Amino acid sequence: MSELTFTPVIGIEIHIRLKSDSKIFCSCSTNTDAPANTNICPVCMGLPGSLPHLNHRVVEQGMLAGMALNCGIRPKSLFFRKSYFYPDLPKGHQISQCDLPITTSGYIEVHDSEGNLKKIRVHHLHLEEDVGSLHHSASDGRLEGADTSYVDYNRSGTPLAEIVSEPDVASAAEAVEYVTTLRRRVIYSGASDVELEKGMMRFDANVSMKCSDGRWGRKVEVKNMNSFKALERAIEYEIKRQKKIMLSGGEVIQETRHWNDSKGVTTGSRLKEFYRKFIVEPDLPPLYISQEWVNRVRARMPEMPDVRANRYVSEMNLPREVADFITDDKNLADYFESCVKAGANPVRAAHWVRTEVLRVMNEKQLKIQNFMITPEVLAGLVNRVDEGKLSTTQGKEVFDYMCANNCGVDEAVKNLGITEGGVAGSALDEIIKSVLAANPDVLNEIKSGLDKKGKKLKFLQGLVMKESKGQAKPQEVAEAIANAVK
Amino acid sequence: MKLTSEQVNDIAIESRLLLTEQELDGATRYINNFLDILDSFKELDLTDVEPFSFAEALECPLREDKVCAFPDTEAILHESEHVDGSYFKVPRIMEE
Ligand SMILES: [Zn+2]
Repeated sequence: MSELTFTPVIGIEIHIRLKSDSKIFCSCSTNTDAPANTNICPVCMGLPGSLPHLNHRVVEQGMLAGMALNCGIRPKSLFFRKSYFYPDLPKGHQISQCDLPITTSGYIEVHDSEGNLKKIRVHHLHLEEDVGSLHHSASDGRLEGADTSYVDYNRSGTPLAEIVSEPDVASAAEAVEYVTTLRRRVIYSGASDVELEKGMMRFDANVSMKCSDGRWGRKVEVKNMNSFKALERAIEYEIKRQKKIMLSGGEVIQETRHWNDSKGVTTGSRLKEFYRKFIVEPDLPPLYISQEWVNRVRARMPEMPDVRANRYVSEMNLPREVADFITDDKNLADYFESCVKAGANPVRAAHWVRTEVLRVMNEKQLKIQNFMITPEVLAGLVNRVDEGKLSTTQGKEVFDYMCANNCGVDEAVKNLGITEGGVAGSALDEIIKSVLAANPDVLNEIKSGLDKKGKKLKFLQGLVMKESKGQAKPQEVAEAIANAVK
Repeated sequence: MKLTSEQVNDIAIESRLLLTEQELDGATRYINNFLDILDSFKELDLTDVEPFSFAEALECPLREDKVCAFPDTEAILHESEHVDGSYFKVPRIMEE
Protein backbone atom coordinates (compact mmCIF):
# COMPACT_ATOMS: atom_id res chain seq x y z
CA MET A 1 0.00 0.00 0.00
CA SER A 2 1.36 3.37 -0.95
CA GLU A 3 1.52 6.22 1.49
CA LEU A 4 -1.42 8.63 1.47
CA THR A 5 -0.68 12.17 0.37
CA PHE A 6 -2.79 15.24 1.02
CA THR A 7 -3.21 18.36 -1.07
CA PRO A 8 -4.57 21.42 0.70
CA VAL A 9 -7.21 23.37 -1.25
CA ILE A 10 -7.36 26.92 0.08
CA GLY A 11 -9.38 29.99 -0.81
CA ILE A 12 -8.74 33.33 0.85
CA GLU A 13 -11.08 36.21 1.61
CA ILE A 14 -9.46 39.53 2.33
CA HIS A 15 -10.96 42.72 3.68
CA ILE A 16 -8.97 45.87 2.93
CA ARG A 17 -9.83 49.34 4.16
CA LEU A 18 -9.94 51.69 1.18
CA LYS A 19 -8.41 55.14 1.54
CA SER A 20 -10.88 58.01 1.71
CA ASP A 21 -11.51 61.02 3.92
CA SER A 22 -15.19 60.34 4.48
CA LYS A 23 -17.13 57.11 4.94
CA ILE A 24 -18.63 55.12 2.08
CA PHE A 25 -22.26 56.25 2.48
CA CYS A 26 -22.07 59.39 4.67
CA SER A 27 -19.85 62.41 5.27
CA CYS A 28 -18.45 61.27 8.63
CA SER A 29 -14.66 61.18 8.91
CA THR A 30 -12.96 57.80 8.49
CA ASN A 31 -10.61 58.55 11.39
CA THR A 32 -11.18 55.55 13.66
CA ASP A 33 -8.67 56.81 16.23
CA ALA A 34 -10.98 59.67 17.22
CA PRO A 35 -12.71 59.49 20.64
CA ALA A 36 -15.40 56.79 20.62
CA ASN A 37 -18.63 57.59 18.77
CA THR A 38 -17.61 61.06 17.62
CA ASN A 39 -17.54 60.19 13.90
CA ILE A 40 -21.13 58.99 13.67
CA CYS A 41 -24.31 60.30 12.05
CA PRO A 42 -27.85 59.03 11.40
CA VAL A 43 -26.67 57.25 8.20
CA CYS A 44 -23.86 55.15 9.64
CA MET A 45 -25.96 54.56 12.77
CA GLY A 46 -28.87 53.34 10.68
CA LEU A 47 -31.40 55.72 12.22
CA PRO A 48 -34.84 55.69 10.61
CA GLY A 49 -35.25 58.02 7.64
CA SER A 50 -31.56 58.28 6.82
CA LEU A 51 -30.36 57.53 3.30
CA PRO A 52 -26.97 56.25 2.10
CA HIS A 53 -25.13 58.47 -0.39
CA LEU A 54 -22.27 56.73 -2.20
CA ASN A 55 -18.79 58.28 -2.07
CA HIS A 56 -17.34 58.91 -5.56
CA ARG A 57 -13.77 58.41 -4.39
CA VAL A 58 -14.56 55.04 -2.80
CA VAL A 59 -15.83 53.83 -6.18
CA GLU A 60 -12.56 54.93 -7.80
CA GLN A 61 -10.49 53.33 -5.05
CA GLY A 62 -12.39 50.08 -5.64
CA MET A 63 -11.64 50.36 -9.36
CA LEU A 64 -7.93 50.99 -8.69
CA ALA A 65 -7.67 48.08 -6.25
CA GLY A 66 -9.46 45.84 -8.76
CA MET A 67 -7.11 46.88 -11.57
CA ALA A 68 -4.15 46.13 -9.30
CA LEU A 69 -5.47 42.54 -9.14
CA ASN A 70 -5.88 42.33 -12.93
CA CYS A 71 -9.67 42.48 -12.59
CA GLY A 72 -12.00 44.05 -15.13
CA ILE A 73 -14.52 46.72 -14.11
CA ARG A 74 -18.19 45.88 -14.46
CA PRO A 75 -20.27 48.58 -16.21
CA LYS A 76 -23.13 47.94 -13.80
CA SER A 77 -22.94 46.81 -10.19
CA LEU A 78 -25.40 46.74 -7.35
CA PHE A 79 -25.59 47.02 -3.57
CA PHE A 80 -27.39 44.56 -1.32
CA ARG A 81 -28.46 44.34 2.29
CA LYS A 82 -26.83 41.43 4.05
CA SER A 83 -28.95 40.89 7.12
CA TYR A 84 -27.68 39.68 10.45
CA PHE A 85 -27.96 40.72 14.05
CA TYR A 86 -24.88 41.74 15.93
CA PRO A 87 -24.31 44.79 18.13
CA ASP A 88 -21.49 46.10 15.92
CA LEU A 89 -23.97 46.42 13.05
CA PRO A 90 -26.41 49.20 13.95
CA LYS A 91 -28.75 48.84 10.96
CA GLY A 92 -29.20 45.09 11.35
CA HIS A 93 -27.79 44.72 7.86
CA GLN A 94 -24.53 45.43 6.10
CA ILE A 95 -24.58 47.15 2.72
CA SER A 96 -22.43 45.06 0.40
CA GLN A 97 -22.02 44.40 -3.32
CA CYS A 98 -21.82 40.69 -2.60
CA ASP A 99 -23.95 39.51 -5.54
CA LEU A 100 -23.11 41.94 -8.36
CA PRO A 101 -19.63 43.29 -7.58
CA ILE A 102 -17.81 46.24 -9.12
CA THR A 103 -15.11 44.00 -10.67
CA THR A 104 -14.94 40.85 -12.73
CA SER A 105 -12.30 38.18 -12.07
CA GLY A 106 -8.54 38.72 -11.95
CA TYR A 107 -5.41 37.02 -10.66
CA ILE A 108 -2.20 37.38 -8.66
CA GLU A 109 0.98 35.45 -9.46
CA VAL A 110 2.86 33.52 -6.77
CA HIS A 111 5.59 30.88 -6.73
CA ASP A 112 4.64 27.27 -6.05
CA SER A 113 6.76 24.87 -4.00
CA GLU A 114 8.95 24.17 -7.05
CA GLY A 115 9.59 27.87 -7.60
CA ASN A 116 7.41 28.10 -10.71
CA LEU A 117 5.02 30.99 -11.23
CA LYS A 118 1.37 30.12 -10.78
CA LYS A 119 -1.77 32.18 -10.93
CA ILE A 120 -4.07 32.51 -7.93
CA ARG A 121 -7.34 33.52 -9.52
CA VAL A 122 -9.27 36.35 -7.89
CA HIS A 123 -12.99 35.64 -8.17
CA HIS A 124 -13.93 39.28 -7.67
CA LEU A 125 -13.53 42.39 -5.54
CA HIS A 126 -16.58 44.13 -4.12
CA LEU A 127 -17.30 47.25 -2.11
CA GLU A 128 -18.94 47.16 1.29
CA GLU A 129 -19.10 49.00 4.58
CA ASP A 130 -17.22 48.07 7.73
CA VAL A 131 -18.98 47.54 11.07
CA GLY A 132 -18.38 49.18 14.46
CA SER A 133 -15.89 47.86 16.98
CA LEU A 134 -16.65 46.06 20.22
CA HIS A 135 -14.56 46.57 23.32
CA HIS A 136 -14.73 44.51 26.42
CA SER A 137 -13.65 47.21 28.82
CA ALA A 138 -14.75 50.82 29.23
CA SER A 139 -12.87 53.74 27.68
CA ASP A 140 -10.86 54.34 30.82
CA GLY A 141 -9.65 50.74 30.79
CA ARG A 142 -11.64 49.61 33.81
CA LEU A 143 -13.31 46.29 33.30
CA GLU A 144 -16.97 46.34 34.00
CA GLY A 145 -18.98 43.24 34.62
CA ALA A 146 -18.07 40.40 32.33
CA ASP A 147 -21.55 40.58 30.87
CA THR A 148 -21.12 43.99 29.19
CA SER A 149 -19.50 44.99 25.90
CA TYR A 150 -18.85 48.57 24.73
CA VAL A 151 -19.54 49.63 21.17
CA ASP A 152 -17.74 52.34 19.22
CA TYR A 153 -19.32 53.06 15.82
CA ASN A 154 -16.53 55.27 14.45
CA ARG A 155 -15.56 52.40 12.15
CA SER A 156 -19.16 51.75 11.11
CA GLY A 157 -19.51 52.71 7.44
CA THR A 158 -15.81 53.05 6.66
CA PRO A 159 -15.19 51.71 3.14
CA LEU A 160 -13.93 48.17 2.57
CA ALA A 161 -12.97 46.12 -0.43
CA GLU A 162 -13.60 42.42 -0.01
CA ILE A 163 -11.39 40.30 -2.25
CA VAL A 164 -12.39 36.69 -2.79
CA SER A 165 -9.93 34.24 -4.33
CA GLU A 166 -10.65 30.97 -6.08
CA PRO A 167 -9.45 27.91 -4.11
CA ASP A 168 -6.11 27.93 -5.96
CA VAL A 169 -3.82 28.27 -2.95
CA ALA A 170 -2.03 25.03 -2.04
CA SER A 171 0.03 25.94 1.03
CA ALA A 172 0.49 28.44 3.83
CA ALA A 173 3.56 29.78 2.00
CA GLU A 174 1.55 30.44 -1.16
CA ALA A 175 -1.13 32.13 0.95
CA VAL A 176 1.44 34.47 2.46
CA GLU A 177 2.96 35.31 -0.94
CA TYR A 178 -0.53 35.90 -2.35
CA VAL A 179 -1.52 38.37 0.35
CA THR A 180 1.92 40.04 0.38
CA THR A 181 1.93 40.60 -3.39
CA LEU A 182 -1.70 41.66 -3.33
CA ARG A 183 -1.08 44.16 -0.55
CA ARG A 184 1.94 45.64 -2.30
CA ARG A 185 -0.03 46.02 -5.54
CA VAL A 186 -2.98 47.67 -3.81
CA ILE A 187 -0.66 50.13 -2.06
CA TYR A 188 0.98 50.97 -5.40
CA SER A 189 -2.44 51.60 -6.94
CA GLY A 190 -3.15 54.23 -4.28
CA ALA A 191 -6.41 52.54 -3.28
CA SER A 192 -5.25 52.00 0.29
CA ASP A 193 -2.23 52.36 2.57
CA VAL A 194 -3.08 48.89 3.96
CA GLU A 195 -1.40 49.58 7.29
CA LEU A 196 -1.36 46.14 8.87
CA GLU A 197 -0.80 47.36 12.41
CA LYS A 198 -3.97 49.44 12.09
CA GLY A 199 -6.02 46.40 11.14
CA MET A 200 -6.54 47.61 7.56
CA MET A 201 -6.20 44.08 6.19
CA ARG A 202 -8.07 41.10 7.66
CA PHE A 203 -8.15 37.52 6.44
CA ASP A 204 -10.48 34.53 6.38
CA ALA A 205 -9.45 31.25 4.79
CA ASN A 206 -11.43 28.31 3.43
CA VAL A 207 -9.37 25.20 3.95
CA SER A 208 -10.13 21.68 2.77
CA MET A 209 -7.99 18.63 1.99
CA LYS A 210 -7.84 16.35 -0.99
CA CYS A 211 -6.49 12.89 -0.25
CA SER A 212 -4.62 10.72 -2.78
CA ASP A 213 -7.13 7.92 -2.14
CA GLY A 214 -9.86 10.10 -3.67
CA ARG A 215 -11.42 11.36 -0.47
CA TRP A 216 -12.31 15.06 -0.23
CA GLY A 217 -12.57 16.70 3.18
CA ARG A 218 -15.32 19.22 3.80
CA LYS A 219 -14.58 22.94 3.60
CA VAL A 220 -13.73 24.64 6.88
CA GLU A 221 -13.89 28.42 7.13
CA VAL A 222 -11.24 29.85 9.43
CA LYS A 223 -11.88 33.39 10.63
CA ASN A 224 -10.22 36.10 12.63
CA MET A 225 -6.68 36.41 11.21
CA ASN A 226 -5.30 39.94 11.34
CA SER A 227 -1.69 39.51 10.26
CA PHE A 228 0.37 37.60 7.68
CA LYS A 229 1.81 35.53 10.52
CA ALA A 230 -1.64 34.68 11.87
CA LEU A 231 -2.83 33.68 8.38
CA GLU A 232 0.21 31.43 7.91
CA ARG A 233 -0.09 29.80 11.34
CA ALA A 234 -3.85 29.33 11.10
CA ILE A 235 -3.59 27.60 7.70
CA GLU A 236 -0.71 25.39 8.87
CA TYR A 237 -2.67 24.45 11.98
CA GLU A 238 -5.82 23.69 10.02
CA ILE A 239 -3.95 21.57 7.42
CA LYS A 240 -2.43 19.48 10.22
CA ARG A 241 -5.72 19.16 12.08
CA GLN A 242 -7.67 18.02 9.01
CA LYS A 243 -4.91 15.64 7.88
CA LYS A 244 -4.92 14.00 11.30
CA ILE A 245 -8.69 13.49 11.19
CA MET A 246 -8.57 12.02 7.67
CA LEU A 247 -5.59 9.78 8.45
CA SER A 248 -7.47 8.26 11.36
CA GLY A 249 -10.40 7.56 9.05
CA GLY A 250 -12.53 10.34 10.50
CA GLU A 251 -14.52 12.95 8.64
CA VAL A 252 -13.84 16.67 8.63
CA ILE A 253 -17.11 18.47 9.28
CA GLN A 254 -18.09 21.64 7.45
CA GLU A 255 -17.93 24.44 9.98
CA THR A 256 -16.64 27.88 10.83
CA ARG A 257 -13.65 27.92 13.13
CA HIS A 258 -12.03 30.86 14.87
CA TRP A 259 -8.28 31.40 14.99
CA ASN A 260 -7.04 32.03 18.51
CA ASP A 261 -3.74 33.82 17.97
CA SER A 262 -2.45 33.63 21.54
CA LYS A 263 -3.13 29.90 21.86
CA GLY A 264 -2.20 29.14 18.24
CA VAL A 265 -5.27 26.98 17.61
CA THR A 266 -8.55 27.11 15.72
CA THR A 267 -11.70 26.39 17.67
CA GLY A 268 -15.12 25.39 16.41
CA SER A 269 -17.86 27.93 16.79
CA ARG A 270 -20.51 26.99 19.32
CA LEU A 271 -22.94 29.44 17.78
CA LYS A 272 -25.17 28.05 15.10
CA GLU A 273 -24.28 29.53 11.69
CA PHE A 274 -27.15 30.96 9.72
CA TYR A 275 -27.40 31.46 6.03
CA ARG A 276 -27.14 35.21 5.63
CA LYS A 277 -30.00 36.18 3.35
CA PHE A 278 -29.62 39.31 1.29
CA ILE A 279 -31.94 41.58 -0.69
CA VAL A 280 -31.26 44.44 -3.11
CA GLU A 281 -30.56 47.67 -1.19
CA PRO A 282 -33.62 49.70 -2.20
CA ASP A 283 -31.96 53.00 -1.28
CA LEU A 284 -29.08 52.61 -3.73
CA PRO A 285 -29.87 52.36 -7.45
CA PRO A 286 -27.40 50.51 -9.69
CA LEU A 287 -23.89 51.91 -9.97
CA TYR A 288 -23.03 52.57 -13.62
CA ILE A 289 -19.39 52.98 -14.62
CA SER A 290 -18.69 54.22 -18.14
CA GLN A 291 -15.75 53.00 -20.21
CA GLU A 292 -14.55 56.58 -20.27
CA TRP A 293 -14.43 56.65 -16.45
CA VAL A 294 -12.59 53.31 -16.40
CA ASN A 295 -10.02 54.71 -18.86
CA ARG A 296 -9.50 57.82 -16.76
CA VAL A 297 -8.88 55.75 -13.64
CA ARG A 298 -6.69 53.25 -15.49
CA ALA A 299 -4.48 56.10 -16.65
CA ARG A 300 -3.62 56.69 -12.99
CA MET A 301 -2.36 53.14 -12.44
CA PRO A 302 1.39 53.07 -11.94
CA GLU A 303 3.63 50.18 -12.99
CA MET A 304 2.96 47.34 -10.54
CA PRO A 305 5.71 46.38 -8.06
CA ASP A 306 6.34 42.84 -9.31
CA VAL A 307 6.45 44.06 -12.91
CA ARG A 308 8.87 46.73 -11.80
CA ALA A 309 11.03 44.23 -9.92
CA ASN A 310 11.15 41.97 -13.00
CA ARG A 311 12.29 44.94 -15.06
CA TYR A 312 15.06 45.72 -12.55
CA VAL A 313 16.25 42.12 -12.84
CA SER A 314 16.09 41.84 -16.63
CA GLU A 315 17.12 45.35 -17.69
CA MET A 316 19.34 46.49 -14.82
CA ASN A 317 20.83 43.16 -13.74
CA LEU A 318 19.78 43.65 -10.15
CA PRO A 319 19.75 40.47 -8.05
CA ARG A 320 16.15 39.29 -7.54
CA GLU A 321 16.30 39.80 -3.80
CA VAL A 322 17.52 43.39 -4.16
CA ALA A 323 14.87 44.16 -6.80
CA ASP A 324 12.12 42.80 -4.54
CA PHE A 325 13.44 44.74 -1.61
CA ILE A 326 13.60 48.09 -3.41
CA THR A 327 10.20 47.75 -5.08
CA ASP A 328 8.52 46.86 -1.77
CA ASP A 329 8.21 50.59 -1.08
CA LYS A 330 7.06 52.58 -4.11
CA ASN A 331 8.73 55.78 -2.94
CA LEU A 332 12.03 54.00 -2.40
CA ALA A 333 11.81 52.50 -5.89
CA ASP A 334 11.01 55.95 -7.32
CA TYR A 335 14.09 57.35 -5.55
CA PHE A 336 16.26 54.54 -6.88
CA GLU A 337 15.00 55.05 -10.42
CA SER A 338 15.63 58.80 -10.31
CA CYS A 339 19.16 57.99 -9.19
CA VAL A 340 19.62 55.67 -12.19
CA LYS A 341 18.07 58.23 -14.52
CA ALA A 342 20.63 60.73 -13.27
CA GLY A 343 23.33 58.44 -14.60
CA ALA A 344 24.26 56.10 -11.74
CA ASN A 345 25.09 52.47 -12.41
CA PRO A 346 21.91 50.59 -11.33
CA VAL A 347 23.64 47.82 -9.38
CA ARG A 348 25.82 50.30 -7.49
CA ALA A 349 22.93 52.71 -6.93
CA ALA A 350 20.76 49.87 -5.57
CA HIS A 351 23.54 48.91 -3.20
CA TRP A 352 23.90 52.48 -1.92
CA VAL A 353 20.14 52.87 -1.49
CA ARG A 354 19.83 49.57 0.31
CA THR A 355 22.71 50.10 2.69
CA GLU A 356 23.62 53.74 3.28
CA VAL A 357 20.34 55.49 2.45
CA LEU A 358 18.30 52.98 4.42
CA ARG A 359 20.67 53.12 7.38
CA VAL A 360 20.33 56.91 7.67
CA MET A 361 16.55 56.68 7.11
CA ASN A 362 16.29 54.28 10.04
CA GLU A 363 18.65 56.25 12.26
CA LYS A 364 16.84 59.51 11.68
CA GLN A 365 13.34 58.01 11.35
CA LEU A 366 12.98 59.63 7.94
CA LYS A 367 10.74 58.75 5.03
CA ILE A 368 12.52 58.52 1.69
CA GLN A 369 10.35 61.39 0.40
CA ASN A 370 12.03 63.61 3.01
CA PHE A 371 15.55 62.29 2.57
CA MET A 372 18.15 65.09 2.65
CA ILE A 373 20.19 63.82 -0.30
CA THR A 374 18.34 64.01 -3.60
CA PRO A 375 18.65 61.02 -5.93
CA GLU A 376 20.53 63.23 -8.44
CA VAL A 377 23.14 64.17 -5.85
CA LEU A 378 23.49 60.55 -4.77
CA ALA A 379 23.99 59.57 -8.41
CA GLY A 380 26.88 62.06 -8.58
CA LEU A 381 28.49 60.53 -5.50
CA VAL A 382 28.00 56.97 -6.72
CA ASN A 383 29.68 57.90 -10.00
CA ARG A 384 32.68 59.50 -8.36
CA VAL A 385 33.25 56.34 -6.35
CA ASP A 386 32.68 54.28 -9.48
CA GLU A 387 35.27 56.29 -11.41
CA GLY A 388 37.78 55.86 -8.63
CA LYS A 389 37.86 59.54 -7.74
CA LEU A 390 36.78 58.57 -4.26
CA SER A 391 37.38 55.29 -2.48
CA THR A 392 34.35 53.45 -1.13
CA THR A 393 35.36 54.47 2.37
CA GLN A 394 35.75 58.09 1.32
CA GLY A 395 32.40 57.89 -0.47
CA LYS A 396 30.74 56.79 2.74
CA GLU A 397 32.47 59.55 4.68
CA VAL A 398 31.21 62.07 2.15
CA PHE A 399 27.71 60.57 2.31
CA ASP A 400 27.58 60.82 6.10
CA TYR A 401 28.93 64.35 5.98
CA MET A 402 26.25 65.35 3.47
CA CYS A 403 23.53 63.81 5.64
CA ALA A 404 24.77 65.58 8.75
CA ASN A 405 25.39 68.95 7.12
CA ASN A 406 22.87 69.02 4.33
CA CYS A 407 25.43 69.95 1.72
CA GLY A 408 26.55 68.82 -1.72
CA VAL A 409 29.35 66.44 -2.71
CA ASP A 410 31.91 69.14 -3.50
CA GLU A 411 31.49 70.89 -0.19
CA ALA A 412 31.69 67.62 1.72
CA VAL A 413 34.85 66.56 -0.13
CA LYS A 414 36.45 69.95 0.55
CA ASN A 415 35.52 70.07 4.22
CA LEU A 416 36.67 66.51 4.79
CA GLY A 417 40.07 67.42 3.32
CA ILE A 418 39.91 64.75 0.66
CA THR A 419 42.11 65.43 -2.36
CA GLU A 420 39.76 64.39 -5.04
CA GLY A 421 41.09 62.85 -8.15
CA GLY A 422 44.17 61.70 -6.26
CA VAL A 423 43.81 58.25 -4.82
CA ALA A 424 45.81 58.22 -1.61
CA GLY A 425 45.64 57.24 2.04
CA SER A 426 42.83 54.89 2.95
CA ALA A 427 41.59 54.78 -0.64
CA LEU A 428 44.96 53.61 -1.86
CA ASP A 429 45.24 51.08 0.98
CA GLU A 430 41.88 49.69 -0.03
CA ILE A 431 42.96 49.13 -3.62
CA ILE A 432 46.23 47.54 -2.57
CA LYS A 433 44.42 45.23 -0.21
CA SER A 434 42.06 44.03 -2.92
CA VAL A 435 44.89 43.62 -5.47
CA LEU A 436 46.92 41.55 -3.01
CA ALA A 437 43.89 39.47 -2.12
CA ALA A 438 43.31 38.73 -5.80
CA ASN A 439 46.94 37.67 -6.37
CA PRO A 440 47.94 35.44 -3.43
CA ASP A 441 50.53 33.45 -5.42
CA VAL A 442 52.37 36.62 -6.51
CA LEU A 443 52.36 37.81 -2.92
CA ASN A 444 53.81 34.46 -1.76
CA GLU A 445 56.60 34.64 -4.31
CA ILE A 446 57.64 38.08 -3.11
CA LYS A 447 57.39 37.12 0.53
CA SER A 448 59.54 34.04 0.06
CA GLY A 449 62.24 36.16 -1.63
CA LEU A 450 61.82 34.72 -5.14
CA ASP A 451 61.22 38.13 -6.73
CA LYS A 452 64.90 39.01 -6.92
CA LYS A 453 64.63 41.48 -9.78
CA GLY A 454 61.49 43.15 -8.35
CA LYS A 455 59.46 42.22 -11.45
CA LYS A 456 56.56 40.90 -9.44
CA LEU A 457 56.52 44.03 -7.33
CA LYS A 458 56.32 46.13 -10.50
CA PHE A 459 53.51 43.91 -11.72
CA LEU A 460 51.52 44.65 -8.54
CA GLN A 461 52.23 48.36 -8.85
CA GLY A 462 50.86 48.28 -12.35
CA LEU A 463 47.68 46.57 -11.20
CA VAL A 464 47.16 49.13 -8.44
CA MET A 465 47.73 52.03 -10.83
CA LYS A 466 45.20 50.52 -13.19
CA GLU A 467 42.65 50.03 -10.37
CA SER A 468 43.10 53.66 -9.30
CA LYS A 469 42.52 54.66 -12.91
CA GLY A 470 45.82 56.48 -12.92
CA GLN A 471 44.72 58.73 -10.07
CA ALA A 472 47.41 57.57 -7.62
CA LYS A 473 50.97 58.89 -7.48
CA PRO A 474 53.41 56.15 -8.66
CA GLN A 475 55.90 57.02 -5.91
CA GLU A 476 53.24 56.59 -3.20
CA VAL A 477 52.00 53.38 -4.76
CA ALA A 478 55.50 51.89 -4.78
CA GLU A 479 56.08 52.80 -1.15
CA ALA A 480 52.66 51.60 -0.01
CA ILE A 481 53.05 48.24 -1.77
CA ALA A 482 56.54 47.78 -0.41
CA ASN A 483 55.12 48.30 3.06
CA ALA A 484 52.16 46.02 2.44
CA VAL A 485 54.22 43.00 1.31
CA LYS A 486 56.72 43.21 4.16
CA MET B 1 -42.53 26.41 1.83
CA LYS B 2 -43.81 26.10 5.39
CA LEU B 3 -41.53 26.75 8.32
CA THR B 4 -41.37 24.39 11.28
CA SER B 5 -41.59 25.80 14.78
CA GLU B 6 -37.95 24.83 15.18
CA GLN B 7 -36.96 27.02 12.23
CA VAL B 8 -39.03 29.89 13.58
CA ASN B 9 -37.29 29.45 16.90
CA ASP B 10 -33.91 29.69 15.13
CA ILE B 11 -34.99 32.98 13.57
CA ALA B 12 -36.15 34.19 16.99
CA ILE B 13 -32.79 33.37 18.53
CA GLU B 14 -31.02 35.13 15.68
CA SER B 15 -33.20 38.16 16.48
CA ARG B 16 -32.32 37.84 20.17
CA LEU B 17 -35.91 37.00 21.07
CA LEU B 18 -36.86 34.41 23.67
CA LEU B 19 -40.29 33.00 22.89
CA THR B 20 -42.47 30.98 25.20
CA GLU B 21 -44.00 27.79 23.79
CA GLN B 22 -47.24 29.65 23.28
CA GLU B 23 -45.62 32.63 21.58
CA LEU B 24 -43.64 30.32 19.33
CA ASP B 25 -46.83 28.59 18.32
CA GLY B 26 -48.48 31.92 17.45
CA ALA B 27 -45.41 33.20 15.59
CA THR B 28 -45.13 30.00 13.54
CA ARG B 29 -48.77 30.21 12.50
CA TYR B 30 -48.47 33.93 11.71
CA ILE B 31 -45.35 33.57 9.56
CA ASN B 32 -46.75 30.56 7.72
CA ASN B 33 -49.96 32.45 6.92
CA PHE B 34 -47.83 35.19 5.43
CA LEU B 35 -45.83 32.68 3.40
CA ASP B 36 -49.09 31.25 2.09
CA ILE B 37 -49.93 34.65 0.64
CA LEU B 38 -46.53 34.77 -1.07
CA ASP B 39 -47.22 31.27 -2.39
CA SER B 40 -50.11 32.65 -4.41
CA PHE B 41 -47.54 34.61 -6.49
CA LYS B 42 -46.30 31.30 -7.79
CA GLU B 43 -49.40 31.02 -9.92
CA LEU B 44 -48.12 33.86 -12.10
CA ASP B 45 -46.07 33.07 -15.18
CA LEU B 46 -42.86 35.10 -14.76
CA THR B 47 -40.65 33.32 -17.28
CA ASP B 48 -39.64 36.42 -19.23
CA VAL B 49 -39.85 38.94 -16.40
CA GLU B 50 -36.61 40.54 -15.22
CA PRO B 51 -36.13 40.72 -11.45
CA PHE B 52 -37.57 44.03 -10.32
CA SER B 53 -35.49 46.21 -8.01
CA PHE B 54 -36.23 49.80 -8.87
CA ALA B 55 -39.35 51.53 -10.06
CA GLU B 56 -37.47 53.93 -12.32
CA ALA B 57 -34.31 53.68 -14.36
CA LEU B 58 -32.21 55.40 -11.74
CA GLU B 59 -28.48 55.76 -11.48
CA CYS B 60 -26.70 55.69 -8.16
CA PRO B 61 -26.02 59.32 -7.22
CA LEU B 62 -22.47 59.98 -6.07
CA ARG B 63 -21.10 62.55 -3.68
CA GLU B 64 -17.68 64.13 -3.34
CA ASP B 65 -15.33 62.70 -0.71
CA LYS B 66 -15.71 65.58 1.74
CA VAL B 67 -15.88 65.28 5.52
CA CYS B 68 -18.79 67.04 7.13
CA ALA B 69 -19.14 66.10 10.78
CA PHE B 70 -22.63 65.51 12.12
CA PRO B 71 -23.25 68.38 14.56
CA ASP B 72 -24.94 66.47 17.36
CA THR B 73 -23.37 63.07 17.96
CA GLU B 74 -24.36 63.38 21.62
CA ALA B 75 -28.00 63.26 20.60
CA ILE B 76 -27.37 60.00 18.75
CA LEU B 77 -25.64 58.58 21.80
CA HIS B 78 -28.66 59.43 23.91
CA GLU B 79 -31.02 57.60 21.58
CA SER B 80 -29.90 54.67 23.69
CA GLU B 81 -30.55 54.25 27.39
CA HIS B 82 -27.47 52.10 27.71
CA VAL B 83 -24.54 54.46 27.49
CA ASP B 84 -21.32 54.63 29.50
CA GLY B 85 -19.21 57.70 28.81
CA SER B 86 -19.06 57.90 25.03
CA TYR B 87 -19.73 54.20 24.52
CA PHE B 88 -22.91 52.28 23.88
CA LYS B 89 -23.33 49.35 26.23
CA VAL B 90 -24.63 45.99 25.02
CA PRO B 91 -24.92 42.60 26.66
CA ARG B 92 -21.72 40.70 26.13
CA ILE B 93 -22.25 38.06 23.47
CA MET B 94 -18.70 37.40 22.41
CA GLU B 95 -17.57 33.84 22.58
CA GLU B 96 -14.50 33.10 24.62
ZN1 LIG C 1 -21.92 58.78 9.31
